[in-house]
Amino acid sequence: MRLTPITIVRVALGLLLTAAAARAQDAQLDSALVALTYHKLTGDALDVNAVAAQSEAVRRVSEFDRRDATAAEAARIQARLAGATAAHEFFVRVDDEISQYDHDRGEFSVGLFQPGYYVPVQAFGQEYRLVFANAERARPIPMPKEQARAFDAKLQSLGRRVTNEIRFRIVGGGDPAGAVTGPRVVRAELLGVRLLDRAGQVVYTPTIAPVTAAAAAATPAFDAARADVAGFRVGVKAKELEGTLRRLFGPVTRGSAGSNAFPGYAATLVVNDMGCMSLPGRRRNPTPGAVCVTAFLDGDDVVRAIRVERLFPWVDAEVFRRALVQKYGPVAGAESGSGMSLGWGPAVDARLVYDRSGPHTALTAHWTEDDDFMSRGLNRAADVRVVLQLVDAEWATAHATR
Amino acid sequence: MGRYAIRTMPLFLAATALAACGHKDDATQATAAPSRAGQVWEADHAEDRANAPATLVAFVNGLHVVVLDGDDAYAGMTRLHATSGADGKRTIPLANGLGAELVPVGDVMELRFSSGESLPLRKQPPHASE
Repeated sequence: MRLTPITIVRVALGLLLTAAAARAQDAQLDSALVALTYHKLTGDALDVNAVAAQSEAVRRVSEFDRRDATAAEAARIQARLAGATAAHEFFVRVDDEISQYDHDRGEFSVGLFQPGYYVPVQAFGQEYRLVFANAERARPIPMPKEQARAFDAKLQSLGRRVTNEIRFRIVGGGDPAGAVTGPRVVRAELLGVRLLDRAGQVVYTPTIAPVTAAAAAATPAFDAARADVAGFRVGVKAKELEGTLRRLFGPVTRGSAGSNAFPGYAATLVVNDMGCMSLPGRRRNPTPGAVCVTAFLDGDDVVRAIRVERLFPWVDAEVFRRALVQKYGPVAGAESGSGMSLGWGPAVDARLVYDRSGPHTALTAHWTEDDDFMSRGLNRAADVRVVLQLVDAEWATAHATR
Repeated sequence: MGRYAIRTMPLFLAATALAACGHKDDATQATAAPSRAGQVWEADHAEDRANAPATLVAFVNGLHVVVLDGDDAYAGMTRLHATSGADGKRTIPLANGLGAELVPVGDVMELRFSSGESLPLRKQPPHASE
């Protein structure tokens, strides 16, 4: 997979500052409390007994006392977990850097606040990935060109490195931008940020917008009733969809849903069956521009799920992520294994999703390489297949138990 | 401190003027594309890697293959209202603040997004079944 690797900015714990910046609390980040707050707010289970058994407090005692020590430590952790709240403010300093000036946009960027960047926090023998929900507002350092020239010279003298001093609170889990994936992604809200030089002098103070205001200003919440994938919706009559598909893409084939189909699916409408996926050894594999559509119909000939695919020449997954988040807003789930998968809307039965390893949500979008390595040769980049799927979640829930 | 490459800048959404008041909001209901009226336009040079980002944005918003019928654009089964402007340009409001502009350039059309991408559109040739 050719995704640009997720970049890690390492936390510089306990970095000492000069008196000028000493007004900021020089306390070490309470990693355990970060983790506990995450587990408390998200409901992501924490095996307290296992964590206690591995703790330093328990490992220090004799084998004879280990059982009691484990119980005591587990109780201590449980009490901290119970007391964790979203109101707690944390403070951390992170080694960071400022980008080169973007002449088109008239701005610099703060490294940590770009999509895909996170602060790794080690707690209980695991890594937690700290992302900031309102990072986009804090990311840019806008500046007219002439002013930017002097600022850039200053950054060059610093090696473009700064200390990112962050005050934040934890608000939940998952990266709303869909760029940081995996388990234990801690969603936080920036409350205050300062960028400092080595002497502790303020280089820049980014603008901070509260999470609710920032989110509302960017995109509205996902609305399942109005959602579409490439302009197509669910809940429409198959006859109208068929006419539209024929006008846009050509021949449409009607078929049965198959014996193993989800309960309630009675038929399908298909455009360009298997025409968007390369098969090794196939004589004529699809080329960029190929479009495929599969719609699943219920017994009343109403569309209950629709999947639209298109093959592209190589296009970066970040372009894909950006376009999808712009259209649908903060993601409900994201996975990155062999490709990238993003999800929005309510959860649906796993049997309905396009990729079972991806988010199990009503609307999903997938980016994968269409790697026909046998015919493309070593010098050509792989094509990319983008799949958008929308499921009528309400209908599916009603039929899942039948 | 670890040194790592800076990634691609995220896009800013440019504000786009919405279509004039008075149009019925079709965003909440699907509308079948006309079976014969209007003209189908599609992304041109699909194999051109330089066009891929813009084509992807068009695909996500249903504009990679679109029926244009006067001031109506049918992106899949979503009818969008275009506002005609000078020099034959038509402005289409899309989801969440994104906008698009259809600009005639000779016999072809250019689709320009407010987020900065643009791609050429061509009249779709007749389907093999027609």
